[in-house]
Amino acid sequence: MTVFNAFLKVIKKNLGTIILYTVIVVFFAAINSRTDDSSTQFVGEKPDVMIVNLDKGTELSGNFEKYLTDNTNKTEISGGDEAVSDALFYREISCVITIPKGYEKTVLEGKTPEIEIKSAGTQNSAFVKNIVSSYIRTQNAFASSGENKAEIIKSVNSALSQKASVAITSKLNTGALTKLANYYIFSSYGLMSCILFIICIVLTSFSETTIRKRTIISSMSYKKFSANLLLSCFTYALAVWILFVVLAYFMMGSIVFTMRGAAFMLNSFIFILTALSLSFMLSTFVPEKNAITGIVNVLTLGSSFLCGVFVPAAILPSWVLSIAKVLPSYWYVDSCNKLAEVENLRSNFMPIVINMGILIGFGIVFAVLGIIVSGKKRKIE
Amino acid sequence: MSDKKVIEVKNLVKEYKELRAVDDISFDVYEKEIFGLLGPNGSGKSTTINSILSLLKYSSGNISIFGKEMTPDAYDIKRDIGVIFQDVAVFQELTVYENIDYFCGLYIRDKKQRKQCIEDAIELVSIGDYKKFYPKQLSGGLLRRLNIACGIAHKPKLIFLDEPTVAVDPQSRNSILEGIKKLRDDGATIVYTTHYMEEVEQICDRIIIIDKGKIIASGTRENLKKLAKIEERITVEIKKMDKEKLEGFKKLEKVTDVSYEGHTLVVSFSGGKNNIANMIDHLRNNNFSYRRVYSERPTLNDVFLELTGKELRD
Repeated sequence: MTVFNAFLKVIKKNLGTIILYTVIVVFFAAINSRTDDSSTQFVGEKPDVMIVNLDKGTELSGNFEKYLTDNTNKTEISGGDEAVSDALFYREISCVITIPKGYEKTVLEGKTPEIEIKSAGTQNSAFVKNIVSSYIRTQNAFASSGENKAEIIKSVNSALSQKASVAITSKLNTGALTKLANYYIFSSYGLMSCILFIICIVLTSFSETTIRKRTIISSMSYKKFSANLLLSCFTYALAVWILFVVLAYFMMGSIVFTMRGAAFMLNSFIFILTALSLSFMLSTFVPEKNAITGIVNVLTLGSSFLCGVFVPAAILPSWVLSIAKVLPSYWYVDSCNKLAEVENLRSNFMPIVINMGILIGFGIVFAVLGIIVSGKKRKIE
Repeated sequence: MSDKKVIEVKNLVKEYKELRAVDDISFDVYEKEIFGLLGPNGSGKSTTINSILSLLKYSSGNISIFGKEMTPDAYDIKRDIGVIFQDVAVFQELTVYENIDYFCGLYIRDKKQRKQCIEDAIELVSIGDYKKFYPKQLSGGLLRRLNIACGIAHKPKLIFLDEPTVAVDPQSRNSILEGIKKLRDDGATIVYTTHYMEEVEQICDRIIIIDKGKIIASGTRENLKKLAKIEERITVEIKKMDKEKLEGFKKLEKVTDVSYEGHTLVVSFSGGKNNIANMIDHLRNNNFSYRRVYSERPTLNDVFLELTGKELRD
């Protein structure tokens, strides 16, 4: 208990750092939970358009105008051409559709009428162009087959009235899962910072030459001392992990303790073991205690930016992600993203297991490097 | 001091590639004595101590403590050893009390017993007012005292002090030396290494002088001082001196050496009685304008100078 007590006292002296990183994670997680993720929702939308029919009184132009009116919000702009231009510029309307004079005649001759579309250049404008294009192509198809006006109108209306029904079949609570994934992704920064900073401080304190000499000459066996220290480090890392999981429960609710939530937990647990191993390696490299803050900040912030913690991995350039693959955070974040996306977790768990295996591999490499360096350092002393 | 041997070092050799840091040295340390290892920096004192403590793997020789062979795994021996290193070995993140508690806790598990030991150590080095202070809030002298408290809190029977007074103010130095004497009086055996001869003369019962890894002299203070050619040194502050008059001092009885530098005349005598009276007579008879006159007995530095041709602090 002597070693553990001293360990706790060193942590107590650095409690401010732990609180700071925890508050950062909680703050960003709170912002994340307030952001409504609507990417999986479907909402039908009708764009505002102005329709000018220069072939008024003809049946075919009338049917086309009616079709456009049904599928858009028909808007009237008074005040002439300038007012219309202003409406387009200020995105009050998406398009101005002009049905040309002689529209019906052109169609009956089997030709394609020139529909003038003045666009505001928005996404809705593109949608309107699609509607127009679809109608004209359908109408042309029936007109070229020799049908009369009434038949063309009937056939076109029948063809365009067919609608595909869209239903979201996924049973996933995608909104909540995305929030949970974002929480775990962002918490990697907090977890890594808390573990790296504190463990490095503690290990460099305990391994200062004079303190280590005094420990070696004491009646406590050095193996027992090392085991106590290792256990203390693990206990601390475990406590930090539990804290972040509990916070996840308070912020995200019961989803944390679902099957998928457990997979997130397992992923982050393996991540803290890797971070623990990295701390051990770093403590053997760090020349002095004052350098720890700088090194830890560079490592945690750098890997968080590169691996998609602060910026979604999907929008990072491929060369950045290629570099990020040499960092443990990349594989952790990748697992989080996969856990939020895969429909069937059981059949798609293997890639996540592989990522976890890579994380464990990183941990083993860090530990081996740490053991080699600390051994060499002791020989030099 | 008893005749019971606490440490026995036989033919100890420690080599670093081509350098022989410790060259075939042997000595014994007896129970309840303050044993001094005196030598200039780099003479091999710390290497000897580190070898005895099994912190270093020595090249050859035998070391036994409390009658048992000392090895890195000899935890039964280590239980009764306390070490105070030259560099302060404390945690910056722990208070004075917590630091002592930690190092004492490596030996004593029982909380109650440990608490008493910590209080005793704090009292011994007089840092009771600083229990809740962090090391960075302490002066150099107080830090050294804390360093000592951390090393002796578990009440060891054998204590190694490796240059514990380096860069310490006179007040703290006296406090530390008095504390060491008290530890000896309470029954501990002390091995004290330093390059400050005054400290060795002040507290050590027996001394070995080491130079270039070899023991060049050993014995009690008195025995060692007999190795010096001089028995008395008289120093006089004289305003003016010429070469002819300086030669006149050499004619005095038992004079071995005369020197004059910076208005200070130093005359060494190999023996004789009434040297100071003879000296004053000579000064008066020759109309010297002088101020202070004082006499000194030979120091260990003189012994070292005699044996090696150089000063301890060279």
